[in-house]
Amino acid sequence: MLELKDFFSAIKDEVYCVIKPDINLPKYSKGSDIDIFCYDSNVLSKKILAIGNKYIVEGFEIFISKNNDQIYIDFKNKIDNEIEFRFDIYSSLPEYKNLLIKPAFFENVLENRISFEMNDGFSIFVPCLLDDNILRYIEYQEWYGRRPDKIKHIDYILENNSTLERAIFLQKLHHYTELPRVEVVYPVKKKRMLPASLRKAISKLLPKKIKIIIKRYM
Amino acid sequence: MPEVGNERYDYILIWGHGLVYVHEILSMIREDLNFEIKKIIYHKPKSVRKIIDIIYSYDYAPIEHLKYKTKYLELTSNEVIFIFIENKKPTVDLLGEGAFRHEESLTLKDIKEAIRNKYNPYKDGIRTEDHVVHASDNELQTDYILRYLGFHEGINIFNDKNKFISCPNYMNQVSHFIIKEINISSLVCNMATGLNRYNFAIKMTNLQESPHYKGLSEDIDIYKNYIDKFLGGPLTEDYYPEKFITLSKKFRYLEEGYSDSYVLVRKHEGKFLILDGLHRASILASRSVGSLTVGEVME
Repeated sequence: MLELKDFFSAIKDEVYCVIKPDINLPKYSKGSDIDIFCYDSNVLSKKILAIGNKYIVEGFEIFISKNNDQIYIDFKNKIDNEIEFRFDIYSSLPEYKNLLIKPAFFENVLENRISFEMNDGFSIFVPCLLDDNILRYIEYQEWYGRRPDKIKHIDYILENNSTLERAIFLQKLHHYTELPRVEVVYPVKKKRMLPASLRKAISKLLPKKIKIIIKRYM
Repeated sequence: MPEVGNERYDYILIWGHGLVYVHEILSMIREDLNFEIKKIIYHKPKSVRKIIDIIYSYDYAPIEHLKYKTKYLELTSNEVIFIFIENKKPTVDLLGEGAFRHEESLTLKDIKEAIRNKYNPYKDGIRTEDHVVHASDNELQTDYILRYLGFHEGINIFNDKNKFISCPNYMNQVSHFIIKEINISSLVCNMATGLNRYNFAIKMTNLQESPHYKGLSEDIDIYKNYIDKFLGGPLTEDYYPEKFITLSKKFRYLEEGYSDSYVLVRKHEGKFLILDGLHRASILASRSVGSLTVGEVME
């Protein structure tokens, strides 16, 4: 079992923000993960490793993967070779398919983060309420049509915000986001009536003038 | 006002007639806190004239002056040493007059002059202008020389490509590591063998067979002889016995500030080949440590 308190104590002076933290933190269930936004993922990962080293002699292995601006740090138990816990560290916004988000939203989340006491005096930095709402909305939108359970985020926004807060939320949401064009999300393939080989054969037989007309008007 | 700060990469070149002073010159550079030696390369050009042309092709001075200035070099031996350094405090200023006016690092100029004062040939008690060393005027020249020597990335070879974990700059970008505990007896390393730095082969051997381990556990001369034989060829980092002994005395693996400086390895036929950290691994082995935490490079 990892002592998550030690890890967060090591990064307390860094500009970071835990996205949608589990309410039971610093307790966690095996195989769970935590998403962290930060300005410098290299520094953060080094600090996590500094604490992580002591778990190596306790039978853990640490898997580190870097993919552009994202670093995964997985703690695996050597006995069952399963992930004990994952730190998912971002130094820019993750890519979303169903919503266009201005990159500046990432900095906005970090700049407006708040310290939040979870349990037993354990505090971490989390997004402010307004940004938390936006992040929840983004997740709902991203999984729209595939994960019906994500409606919980909309319920949360409706239940936990006053009419005024919801109005401000919508203003900020519209400032930072935009829906992608439908044809980008759902690319439509033009359906041809005739197969390509037949079209080519017919095309060879047609006079040049007809071909020009077809090209211009069809 | 001279500019202070803005570290940059420079090189100091030891000409053929200065090769006998290589240890003394390296010591002078190491003792100057403005500089850190990053790479040492011995080089045998096709001819002395060729290397003169290469070196001075980026020079600011008029060609006629250079021809006169470099005439003495044609009589020197056909071997030179490039010492690439990080110049931590260049303090750049404009020097010279007219066609000779150019930007130069004052700190580099100081050490260059100190070396020349000590090791340039003297005639009737007066220092000649047959310089034993040459130094770059700017980073562009360093970049050009590195490319000439076959480092296609130029000065970018000194950039750390894996900032999320401590890696030497000669390692390519790595995206997957595993930090794990392994038995120290499973470590192997690549060693140079052969006649000299120009004529060598690379052979894989157990860590306990390396001159590094033997140097600490048996006789430091084993390590010294290895370095003397291959430095500037297969070995281009600034290694020397005194540095190794000092390190072995105070070294604490993965201590605070170095907690991600793992010995880096790659799996090879059931063993772990050391990619970086041979000196550190040798120190630990000489202390009879049974296992150590390593960073295994996956891709």
